[in-house]
Amino acid sequence: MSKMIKLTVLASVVATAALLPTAALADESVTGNVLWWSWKVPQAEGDALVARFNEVYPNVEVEYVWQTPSDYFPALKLSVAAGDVPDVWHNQAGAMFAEYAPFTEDLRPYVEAERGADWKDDWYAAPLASGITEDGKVAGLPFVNLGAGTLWYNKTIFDELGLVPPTTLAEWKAVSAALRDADVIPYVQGASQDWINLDMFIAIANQVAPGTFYEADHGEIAWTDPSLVESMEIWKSLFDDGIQQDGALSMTQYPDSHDLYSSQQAGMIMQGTWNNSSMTQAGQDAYRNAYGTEEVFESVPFRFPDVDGDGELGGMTIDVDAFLMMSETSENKEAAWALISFLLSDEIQASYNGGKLVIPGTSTVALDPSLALTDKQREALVWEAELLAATTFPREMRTPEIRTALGVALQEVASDQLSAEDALAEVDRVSQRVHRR
Amino acid sequence: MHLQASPATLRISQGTLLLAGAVFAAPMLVAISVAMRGGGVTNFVTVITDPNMPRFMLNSLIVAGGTIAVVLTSATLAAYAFVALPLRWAQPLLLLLIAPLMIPPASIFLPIFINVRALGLLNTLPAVIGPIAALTIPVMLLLIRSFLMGVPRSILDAAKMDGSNSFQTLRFILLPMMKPILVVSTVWTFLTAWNEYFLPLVFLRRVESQVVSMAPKYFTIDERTPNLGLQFAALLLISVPTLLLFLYFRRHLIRPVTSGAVK
Amino acid sequence: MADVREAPDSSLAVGRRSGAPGALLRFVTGRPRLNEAVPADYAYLLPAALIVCLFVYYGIYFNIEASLYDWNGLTSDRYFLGAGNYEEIVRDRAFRQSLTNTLIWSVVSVAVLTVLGFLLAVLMSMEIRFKSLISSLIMIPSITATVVVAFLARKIMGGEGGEINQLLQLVGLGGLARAWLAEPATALYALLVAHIWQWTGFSFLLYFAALTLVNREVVEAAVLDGAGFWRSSWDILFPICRSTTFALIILGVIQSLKTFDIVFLTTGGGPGRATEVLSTYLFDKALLESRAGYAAAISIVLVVLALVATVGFLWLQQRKSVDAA
Repeated sequence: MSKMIKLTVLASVVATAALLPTAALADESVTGNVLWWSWKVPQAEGDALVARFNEVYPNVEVEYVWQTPSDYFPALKLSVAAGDVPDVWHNQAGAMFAEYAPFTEDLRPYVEAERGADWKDDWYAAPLASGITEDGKVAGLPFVNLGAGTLWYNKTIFDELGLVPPTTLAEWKAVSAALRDADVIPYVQGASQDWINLDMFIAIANQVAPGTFYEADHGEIAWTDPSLVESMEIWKSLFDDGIQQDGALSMTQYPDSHDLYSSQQAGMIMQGTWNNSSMTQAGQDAYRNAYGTEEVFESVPFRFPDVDGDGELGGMTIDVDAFLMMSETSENKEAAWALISFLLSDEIQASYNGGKLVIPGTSTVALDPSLALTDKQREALVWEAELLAATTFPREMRTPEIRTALGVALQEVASDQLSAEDALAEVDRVSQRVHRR
Repeated sequence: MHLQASPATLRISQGTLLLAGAVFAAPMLVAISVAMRGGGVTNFVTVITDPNMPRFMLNSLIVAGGTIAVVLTSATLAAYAFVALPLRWAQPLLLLLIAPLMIPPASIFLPIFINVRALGLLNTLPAVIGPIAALTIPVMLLLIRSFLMGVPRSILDAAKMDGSNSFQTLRFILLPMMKPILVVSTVWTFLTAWNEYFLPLVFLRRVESQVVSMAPKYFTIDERTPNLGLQFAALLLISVPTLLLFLYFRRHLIRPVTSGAVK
Repeated sequence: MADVREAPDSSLAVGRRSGAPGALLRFVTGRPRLNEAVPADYAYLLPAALIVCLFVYYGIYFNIEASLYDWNGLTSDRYFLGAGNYEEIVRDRAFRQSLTNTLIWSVVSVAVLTVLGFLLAVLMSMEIRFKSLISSLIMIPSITATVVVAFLARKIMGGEGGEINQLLQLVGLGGLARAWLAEPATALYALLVAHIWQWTGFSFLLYFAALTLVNREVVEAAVLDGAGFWRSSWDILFPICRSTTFALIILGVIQSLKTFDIVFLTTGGGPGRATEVLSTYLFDKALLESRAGYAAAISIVLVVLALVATVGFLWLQQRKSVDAA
């Protein structure tokens, strides 16, 4: 059972949240050096968080290292494999969680001591559960969550052209044609990257036959199940019917596609709640500075269209965006926990995650829709919260090999190298081998 | 040394070369236009005046300088030996020294990491210099060796007649003649060391010891969106030292070295 | 007429001399038997050997060992497979595709880079104006970070907005326009174009350096004989640069077999596996799929391939130089 993602119409969240002690009440007894790694918090923001942390714990020396997402995971893997584990680090959900769980410290005693026996109530159930291993070890606590499966459109351009976001596949094609006529790229996606292709495919599959995708992922049914073949063919039609832009298969989501959308050359894009910061003033300012333009445009999420004709719009998937983990071999566990607890505190969750309108890790913090700039955006936050509360579908796949195989299959089908059935048969082959082991 | 050619051939060649120059340089105009995004020329100013830049540059210079010293010395000595000295098992030895080239770097990152840690070099610049040198020496060895194989035997024989031993031959006769290949080797090694990304990423954790190839990635809009304007400005600025190095040493390439040496 | 092909000898090994000159040399240099090297001679190899052993050889051994196991690269549990990984490689369709792509990449890039580099160097050795400018321009891509090249490739060879396609439209060849990097049929070759654009400068530089050694009299003598420009280039200069060519080919083959950066940064191996090469496939297996043992097996296969190619070319080089002597 998952709790409602909380929203409040009250302006201030901090007033109702538990505050961290101020400098006057700083805890000087905790000492040590903590090495903290992440891809999630840009270096400058991380340094600011560390500064705030040091107001509360002045005797803990924190070294924060940010890496880009594509550097982070290879570097982390190398370090951990060689026995050089950071004290605190962020980790992804899915396969990666399982890989690193053996190297983590069980956080249960720490979090129980701090928050009491009903500590679990402070988190959303499904994300929290995904951070607990089979034998009950709390290997990671969710720092920030995400929801995927939504599309976004440039409302400014749409209004100018008298268009509305599509609710069916046919409408999607029509809107795309209209945008092309106006010299706007209709829909842009970094199809050279597996993760966004998977988001799209999962959104389609969850419409065609909700849940079958996950049965296949768990090895309970074959990947060549008719509903999955149908989903694959719908995926292909996006390319054949002019919805995806030409050359999508050689573009990246960040920066290529995101750039085209942000510079108003493209009308639609697929992003999840991690993109919500573009609805805030701070987010818009950052983009304007980077692109050197004074133009603002209204960017609004919309629900995934009904692509299989059953009259239902798409839902969302939910997962942990980043876990916080502590190293089992850390020499400064008390200090490391101080940092983790700080990052999970209401104040930081509210100001850091809430400020970006992304879903906080803890459920005790509510999102403040008034941070969004327009009405339509605020509405979006509301229905996103409802959809996320109603879903149990995870965003990440469990096995990296099957994930890679499916990613390759999606590209091969989109580029006409294989038919939908043949591509899925390949994935099934890999799946059988994996589940046999 | 100029080759003689008819005026017509000369004109065609001139045209072709100009075209070639244009083709190789034109895409950089796109890069420059990206670098101007958001702030125009001020992007370059922002990058240069970034407080971390001087330290990054210094670290990169140390890495590059160290690598060049190690690579050029080792490769020249070894190349000379293979070409001028009657080594037994020359072929197998050569293969052994070239073999490191054959393994994809990604496959040996973990073993190198283990080694570096065991040597206690983690977080130090030699941790980066060592592996880069190890992977560049084979390349330089092959290039310098091939260059030396083009040296007329008569020159070496004359040296022997004059009674010089192997080291003196290398130092006083061959080295001056090797300027062109040493220039190429220096530029190449500098380029490799200067642009090396993954090794510093993994081995140099402290911000103080970071190198300049790490600089661009810090210019972001948020944790997943790069600020392309600033990043490209940084990338372009970072390639300037290599260009300067090349320009500085170019004159050694142009002067004909052997004309008149053997009469 | 001097036989120009004899003048540059590819073998400086003094021990090969026979007869009176040989005896004289041996006397002068004080070597008991010139065919033997004194131990001190091997000392020249020491610095290189030391560094290479310290950092790389352990890595090769590590991979050989890892390739025998089913291992995720992180934890210490691994299952001994013996030749299991290698057996799987033989059956692996994706491996075959990346091998094919890699071989195509090798042949095309080495051939084109060698020829282009040589041509440009020869042209540059004439009385050309703006030499400095042109050679600097040619070198610019070589000193550019591959990250930039990858981005430029995606942008310039991109779909509708790409500069190449816009150019084609301009000259009326709009029908040829396509998303070069997105279509399986053209993606690998589009990448090759980017790669060749990036590295022609160095190839040119190497040949230019080699040409500086050419003795002016030798060439002038041949030219006086009536050999035209192109004839001179082919018959005279190319053989002189033979050792450079061989070095470039050996280096080119070895480096191209482990191509990674440009492919990874531009297409990531896609679409599908259309541009997958051995190194990117290996990276996928090791880091994305956590099959470190399998990846290690692929690296060993790569090393063997490179070894075979190198031995082949070295032997060829030896034969050619013996023929010329």
